[in-house]
Amino acid sequence: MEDFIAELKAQHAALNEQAAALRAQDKGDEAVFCTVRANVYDICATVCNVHMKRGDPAAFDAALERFRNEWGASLEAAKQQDNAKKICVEETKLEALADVAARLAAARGE
Amino acid sequence: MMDRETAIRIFKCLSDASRLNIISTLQTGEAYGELLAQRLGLSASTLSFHMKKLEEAGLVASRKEQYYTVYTLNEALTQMRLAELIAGEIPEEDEARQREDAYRKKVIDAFFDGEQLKSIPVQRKKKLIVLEKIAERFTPGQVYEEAALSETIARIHPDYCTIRRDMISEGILRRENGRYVRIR
Repeated sequence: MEDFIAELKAQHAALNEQAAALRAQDKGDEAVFCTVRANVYDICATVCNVHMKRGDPAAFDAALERFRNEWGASLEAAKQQDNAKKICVEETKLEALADVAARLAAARGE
Repeated sequence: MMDRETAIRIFKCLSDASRLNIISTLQTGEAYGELLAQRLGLSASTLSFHMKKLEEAGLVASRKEQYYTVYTLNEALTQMRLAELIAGEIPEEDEARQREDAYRKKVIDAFFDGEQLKSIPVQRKKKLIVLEKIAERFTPGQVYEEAALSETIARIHPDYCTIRRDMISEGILRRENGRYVRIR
């Protein structure tokens, strides 16, 4: 699981670099979405690390599920309000979360 | 002639490289959302966000064709010269006054509970509005004894000393030999 956490951290760093590049290209909104994506990897790496240290890896799966539900609810609320930016932010978070879940499954050899 | 708010919305919308790329692509003809996303290397949700912004600014229009969305450029707007966009109407003095009056009312409603002042605002602009409201209790040019003036203010807020001092420093009251005159 240490490799998995390192992978998430590397992804976080790469996306932050990408966000800086987008900002330099005057693509401000996309830079924001990229930072949002980067933050998801950072959060997941931190939460995973905490649960690994506690010896409770199953708790990380529960945390991912909780994020999925909360962000899904935020996306629905944003759609109701027709808030384009919020919709994009929540979709970006959920996409990144799905990628984290896929990486986790691969790391466990599932 | 275009109003200022619309012009500002258009300029804000255009200050993004991806949105300029989208407009540039649409200048060659209408396009499906999927195709635009693919050509510009954008995700579906990012493209959808940019298109929403462009539509809100009136630069682009969309229509549904079965499951797809087709985007078209609003050429009437994109072919306008920069000078035409900038030469919007400058807000009339009346509009500015109306905005100022609305702000005054908002501050007064927030800080007064009927005749009572709930608290003295910290922000100078708001405090000035509150002090001017209190000053309406006094007739300009009329001389007031300190006790009478303080009593009137104390009925509005217990800290009449601070209010009286602030009214002097803001040039609303003038103190002359222990008496007070409203000067504006």
